[in-house]
Amino acid sequence: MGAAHPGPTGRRGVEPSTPLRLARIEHATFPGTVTPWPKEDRRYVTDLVRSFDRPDPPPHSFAGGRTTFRDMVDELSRRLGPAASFDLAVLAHCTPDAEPGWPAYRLLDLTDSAGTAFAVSDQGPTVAFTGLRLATGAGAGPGPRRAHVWALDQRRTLHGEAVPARVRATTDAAAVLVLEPDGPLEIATAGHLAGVRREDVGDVLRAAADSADTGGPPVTAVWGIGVPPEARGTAAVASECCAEAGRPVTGVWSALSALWTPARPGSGPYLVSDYDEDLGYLGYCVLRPVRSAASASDGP
Amino acid sequence: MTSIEEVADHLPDPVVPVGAYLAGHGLSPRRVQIHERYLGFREIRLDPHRTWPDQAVAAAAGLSRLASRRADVHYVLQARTMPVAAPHPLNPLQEVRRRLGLTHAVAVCVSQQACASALLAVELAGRLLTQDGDRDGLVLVLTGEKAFTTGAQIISDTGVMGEGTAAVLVGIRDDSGDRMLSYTSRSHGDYRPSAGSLADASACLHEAYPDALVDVYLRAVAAAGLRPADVDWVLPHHANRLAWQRVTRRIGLRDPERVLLGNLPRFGHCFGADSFLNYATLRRSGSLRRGEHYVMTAVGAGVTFATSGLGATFAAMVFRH
Repeated sequence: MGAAHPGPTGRRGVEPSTPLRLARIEHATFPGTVTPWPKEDRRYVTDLVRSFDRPDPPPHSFAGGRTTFRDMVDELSRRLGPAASFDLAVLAHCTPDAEPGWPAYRLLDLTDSAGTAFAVSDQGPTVAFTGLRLATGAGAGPGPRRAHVWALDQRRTLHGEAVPARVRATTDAAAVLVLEPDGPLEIATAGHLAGVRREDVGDVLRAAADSADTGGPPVTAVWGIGVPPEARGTAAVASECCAEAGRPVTGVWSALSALWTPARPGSGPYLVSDYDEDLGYLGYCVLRPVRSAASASDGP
Repeated sequence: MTSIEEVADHLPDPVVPVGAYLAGHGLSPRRVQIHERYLGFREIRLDPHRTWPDQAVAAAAGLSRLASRRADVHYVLQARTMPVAAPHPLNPLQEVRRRLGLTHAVAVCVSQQACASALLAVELAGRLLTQDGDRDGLVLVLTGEKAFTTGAQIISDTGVMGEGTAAVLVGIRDDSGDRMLSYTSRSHGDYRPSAGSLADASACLHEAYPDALVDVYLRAVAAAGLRPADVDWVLPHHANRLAWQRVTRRIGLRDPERVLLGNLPRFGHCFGADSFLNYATLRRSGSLRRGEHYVMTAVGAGVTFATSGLGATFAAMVFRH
């Protein structure tokens, strides 16, 4: 894109050479609110499952608690305060919303943002890594001043379909990654690979961990539940933690937020990853602490 | 530089007359007449026996370059209008990826801008390929979907939705394809007046529609370095004929007949696919000449019934053939 090309990030972009860094993670779980189902939503869901030759949702499906993506963005936007406004927001989920709703428009409305918001989905548990790529890698063209990547997990299903563990949410949860040019963690790599065999996962993660190790503090790994145990052992990491099961998309980011203290200089580096063997997708990112000008000039 | 390398389309064979279709949905004869006579809808295509993957694969099969360049396809992007389109964990997009022999590619659905998601997907395709740095890389964008529920079949007194799918090969080579010169979009989070109803919000959107569309259109044309009179063709989304009458006289075309609305009465509004179906029709007609400029448009509105919220995105994209 040329300079004359506004692009999807709107007019408030900065030069493409200004990379976004991780500034903050806000996350929450939700107990489920008892929100009535409008008749239009019941009809939508019933028609949807019928169109896939599935039986109608049983009547009790539309009773009890549910947490919509709208509920989630409402709560976390409130917690973000001034950081809730954005130029670009990417919502990432592998479970469906609990309503046929429009959380991206909700976000724009809540924050009075003039930016761009959209969702990425249908990619399994690694989808937030694609969201991170899209939010950070503007490629050519102007980039945003502040971008959000929203990881969303929603546990309600409205049919009897069996859901495999890799994409099954047992908790309603959300995590939002706030990316800003002056955040403390550089996003050195945000990768999403396809066609990755289980036996090759370790090699990719070892190379990623090596790239994170720049002679500073040792690397901490955050493993999604799909990363095979044998692959974890190949990466040279000093410490590790695992995402909670039942949180296919939010799990790794909540685990990272439990480890990372944005206000503490030098926290990191981190290798965050997840793997979906069924689809052959490997998502990973390397987050490195930004060295201050003073420490960068410290030589031996 | 993002470019469209090729577009193929798939329209289901079964033709459904709009009059009988709307009457079957309980619309009065007067409202049926409004949809036919004033809004411009005559028939749509619907095939209840073919799934979205069937239709997407059929569209992709029409891409002459896909077979020979399968290995160059890095991504498959489904640009989707409907917010929830399959019972979890069914994943039609990954089924399409597998059926097309593209398991080496990353497939992801782009949504939440409703029918404007398709132009967004083309934009994102170019960005992803630029990031990858492979100038021979390609993205397969798929758009169009099943009209499976009332809300996806009829937009009351506005449009009639049909099934039609487009497969779009996007690249970044500057020496082939139709070069994208600009993309402009603007999203509005909620048209709901304070304490207003959904009907109020719809009226608010209806009122704002021409100004918002004209605004993104003219900004996209200017960002492409063109004057309005330099635009040779408009490949519109199929909102309806009346909506386009309100817009056409304000966008400075030399010839208003260059807004290609001929497919609207034949196919209805095929979600995000309209502009690409129109592109395929224009190419087949042989009327698009080398060096000509065209603008694709899209408007994507989404209603949240629980809150009576109504958001919308207006988008325009300019190309040189």
